[in-house]
Amino acid sequence: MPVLLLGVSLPDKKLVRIALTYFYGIGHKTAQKLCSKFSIHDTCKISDLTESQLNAISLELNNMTIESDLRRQVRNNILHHRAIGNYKGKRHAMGYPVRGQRTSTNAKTARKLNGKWLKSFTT
Amino acid sequence: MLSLHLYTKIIPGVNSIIPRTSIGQSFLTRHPIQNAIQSPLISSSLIIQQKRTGTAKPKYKTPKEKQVKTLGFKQKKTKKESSRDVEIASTSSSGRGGEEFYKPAPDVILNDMFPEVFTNENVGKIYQIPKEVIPKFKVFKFPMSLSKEFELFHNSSLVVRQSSVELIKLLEEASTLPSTKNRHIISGPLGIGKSALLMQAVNYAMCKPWIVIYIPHAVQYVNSTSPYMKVESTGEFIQPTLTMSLLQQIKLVNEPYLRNINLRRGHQIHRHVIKDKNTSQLLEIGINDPHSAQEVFEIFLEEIGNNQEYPVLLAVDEINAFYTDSKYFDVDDTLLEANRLSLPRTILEYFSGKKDFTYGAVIGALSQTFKPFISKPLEIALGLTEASPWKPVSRTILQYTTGLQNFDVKGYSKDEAKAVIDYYYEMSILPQPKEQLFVKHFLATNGNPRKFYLACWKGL
Repeated sequence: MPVLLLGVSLPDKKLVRIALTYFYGIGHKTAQKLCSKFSIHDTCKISDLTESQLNAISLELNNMTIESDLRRQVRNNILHHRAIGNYKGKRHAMGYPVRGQRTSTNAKTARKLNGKWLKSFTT
Repeated sequence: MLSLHLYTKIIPGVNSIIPRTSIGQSFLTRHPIQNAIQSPLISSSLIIQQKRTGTAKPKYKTPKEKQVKTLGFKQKKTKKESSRDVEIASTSSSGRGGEEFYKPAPDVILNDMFPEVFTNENVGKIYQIPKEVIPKFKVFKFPMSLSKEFELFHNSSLVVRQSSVELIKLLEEASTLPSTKNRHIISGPLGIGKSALLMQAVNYAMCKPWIVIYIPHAVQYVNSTSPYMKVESTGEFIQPTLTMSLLQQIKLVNEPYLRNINLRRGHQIHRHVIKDKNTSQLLEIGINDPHSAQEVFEIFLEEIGNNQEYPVLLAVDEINAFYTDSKYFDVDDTLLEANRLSLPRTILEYFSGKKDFTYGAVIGALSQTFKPFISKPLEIALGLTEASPWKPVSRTILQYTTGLQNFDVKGYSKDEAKAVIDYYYEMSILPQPKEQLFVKHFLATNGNPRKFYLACWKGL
């Protein structure tokens, strides 16, 4: 039975320090820091956690910027560039690499990922 | 009662230490009804399915599944238990499944390794661990590499070496001296027989009326596999489940002696008031309440330390894991040293001589199998390596190494190796006659026991 924490369901059998990475904005380092803060050992699974521990974790997560808060922050940063009309904003809009990479070959990642923050703005 | 223990994943219920031969049968006969219901259902539905072939995909009958579900939880429980019982029965008598496909193990009769056996004349003879002691070892569990060897041979046997005779002599003297004078660490290169020597010492103590605390795998205490929590008052970290399981093991093995030791004074641990009890009941309090298990353990060690009837042996394999950083993290994300954890710290206090048993010995064995847990401070204190002037050594660890005596182990002598290769030949793991291979294997492995064993078994 997966545990629902702040809108993300964490599967029961996963290790806690891996399951916490399922949040947008938490990677392995911050997950490890969270586990050590609440004295959760490395091989603890989600099913082993007590209610009070889960509550403490969700309280801590509420204080961090993750999930929708983070996404909003990133989007606002990019929209700021667009709004002031600088070079970075134009590159984001066109879906080209922003940080000065070559475009005559190899711009695949930029083409894939760079427009998405602005698309949601337009719709 | 038995079922409860197995289901909650604590060690199997060894209520009395008598080896059981047919656990599986007795359990099945206790619950015949459920088994009778199970088998005809499945067999009848299978027959029906076979007759119906003609369609491409056979359909599975859901009513059958529903019926299994309603009987459901209890039946699953018995299935798990019966299979586990069968497993336990089979592992106790044989060592591997699929016995129909292997030749039966050769029947070799060995003498039991009683304490009288450790004399200079018996160096180079092979003895097996006595039947009465094997259940006690099963509670504590064998060290890893040796358990595989014992499974292969279907009996637990060790060779008496010159170093084991010396070690047992130390133990004999230790039975009349306080443990501060008998703190030894068995050291040597990889595969030289440190764990085996420690096993022989523990076996000696178990045959005699000593109280034995044996930890075959100390690395599991520090590698972040069991829950831990901070105690604000002391600033240390307790490991409730681990302490509880250790107390259970101690109680199971030493039950008859602990009942005779009464507590000298009353104690109070959280909400438990302990008065006029014996140590066995004290351990029960710790087992039932894991959060007080750590304090119970400390009080228990103090009480058995004060008693003068039974000497105490505290034997820890892989002791170097307690003298390094553990894999646990502090609240502010720094690595904890092992002495910040309460359970290793109590054991280290006895190793360093800060606390002692009136009569008894404290013996540890190094282990180089787990590289992250090799302890530089301990090796420096024992004189095995030089301290590097560029790398500082932790003082908190060094304070627990004062007064430890090194017990060095060398490889096999020629007589010991000859006895061992005779034994391997009798147990038919040696592929060719022994005379051809002995000199070759002995020279190539330079008498290192583990390499010698692997060379004889799998070839060079």
